[in-house]
Amino acid sequence: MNRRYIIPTIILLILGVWFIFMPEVDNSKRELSPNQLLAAMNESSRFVSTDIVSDLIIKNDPGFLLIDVRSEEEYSSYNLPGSINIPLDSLLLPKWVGYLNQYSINNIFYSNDELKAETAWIVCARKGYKNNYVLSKGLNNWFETIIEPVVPSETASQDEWDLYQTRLAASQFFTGAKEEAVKPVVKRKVFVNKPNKQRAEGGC
Amino acid sequence: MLNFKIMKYKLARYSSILFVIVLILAFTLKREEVFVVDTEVVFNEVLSGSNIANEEILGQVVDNNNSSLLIIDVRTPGEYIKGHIENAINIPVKNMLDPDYVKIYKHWAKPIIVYGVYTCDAQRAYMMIRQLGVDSISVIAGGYKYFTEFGDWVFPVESAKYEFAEIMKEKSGGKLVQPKAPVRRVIKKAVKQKERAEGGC
Repeated sequence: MNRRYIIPTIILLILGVWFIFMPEVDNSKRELSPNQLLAAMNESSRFVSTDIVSDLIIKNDPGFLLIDVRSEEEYSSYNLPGSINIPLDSLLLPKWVGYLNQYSINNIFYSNDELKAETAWIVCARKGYKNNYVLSKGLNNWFETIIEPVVPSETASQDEWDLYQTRLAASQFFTGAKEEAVKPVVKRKVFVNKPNKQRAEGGC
Repeated sequence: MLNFKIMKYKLARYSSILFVIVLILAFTLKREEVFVVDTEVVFNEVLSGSNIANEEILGQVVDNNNSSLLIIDVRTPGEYIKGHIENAINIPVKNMLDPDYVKIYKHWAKPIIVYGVYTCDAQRAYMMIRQLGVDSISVIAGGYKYFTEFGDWVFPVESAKYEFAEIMKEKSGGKLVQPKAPVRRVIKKAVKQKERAEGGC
C-alpha cells in the first residue's frame, strides 16, 4: 500500500471497530429524554382554560376529546359533556393506547383539580405521545368560572364584563336553566374536615 | 502534478486528525441525563400514593430535627425569598436539569422532600427526579401554603370543592342529573360502521 494512506486507513479502521462496539441507539422507542420532557412540561400552552373547553363543547368541535381520569364512581356522578372515562390506574392499559397515542385528536385530561390530569399528562408525554392537554385547575375551576361565574365588580373593564356574559351564556347552555344577569350567585362549598384544626379548601 | 499530490495527502491527514479530535470531544464532554426508571414503575408509585409525604416525614420537616433530609423548594426565586421552609434549597422546576442542581440531588442518599406552590408543581419535580433514579423522594401535598398552616397534616389531594352533581341538578331545576351529550368514540367509529355494513347487499 502507498505509505501516504497508512495513517488515514488506520484511523478509519479504528473508527470502524469503535462503531461496531458502540452502544446501540434505540430508535424503536419514541420516549422523551429528561431534557425534552422538561421542555414539554414548561410549555404553558398545554394547559387549556375552562373558557376554551366550554367554547369547544358548545361549538361541537370534532377535533378534541375530554378524558376524565377520575374513578368510575366520580365519573358516573358527574362528568363533562362528551367526555370518556379513563380512570388513572387504567391509563396504560392496551385498550386506551389508541386514544392516547395518535396524531389527529387533541385529548384534554381533567380531574377534580389538576394533580391526576397532570400525572396522566406526564406519563403520556414521557412515552412520546403528542396532542395531550390538561384542563387548567380541573372541575373545581369549571364550576367557579363556567357554571357559576363570578360577577365582575363595578369598576371592571369591558372585557371582563364581556367574558362574564359569555360565561353566563355557557352556564345556561350546560344547565339548561335561565339565569338573570348580574345576580349575585351563591356558592356552595364543601370543606374538607381536618380534625382539630381549621378547615381547608380543596386544592391541587 | 507532484505538488498537487502532496497537498492532497496533507489535507487528508489533517482532516482525519481533526475528525478524530471532534469525535473524542463529542463523547468525553458531559452527556445529557437519561431516565433510569421506567414510567410504569413511577406511575404505580403515584397511584398507590407513596409519592405523597406521610405524617411522619412531615413531622420531621416541621421539627426540623433531621439534618439528612434534603428539602427542595420548586417555586420561583421570588416566592422562595418571600418565605420558605427552613433549610430548604430553591430549585425552580424549569432549572431542574441544570448540571449544578442535578449534582445536588441525584446522588443524595437520604430522603428528599419536594414542595411547591401547589401539589402539582412539586409533582412535576417528583416525576423528573424519581425517573432519573433517585429512590427516596416525596411530595408535600397542598404546597407551601397548607404546610405552613397545618404542619404535619397530610392535605387531601384532588378533593372536589363542590357537590358537582347536586349543583347541576339544582340549576337545571331537577331536570338533568347528567349533562346530555353523545359520548364520542372517535377512534372506534370506523370499525363499528364496517361491522354494520356487513349485513347489507
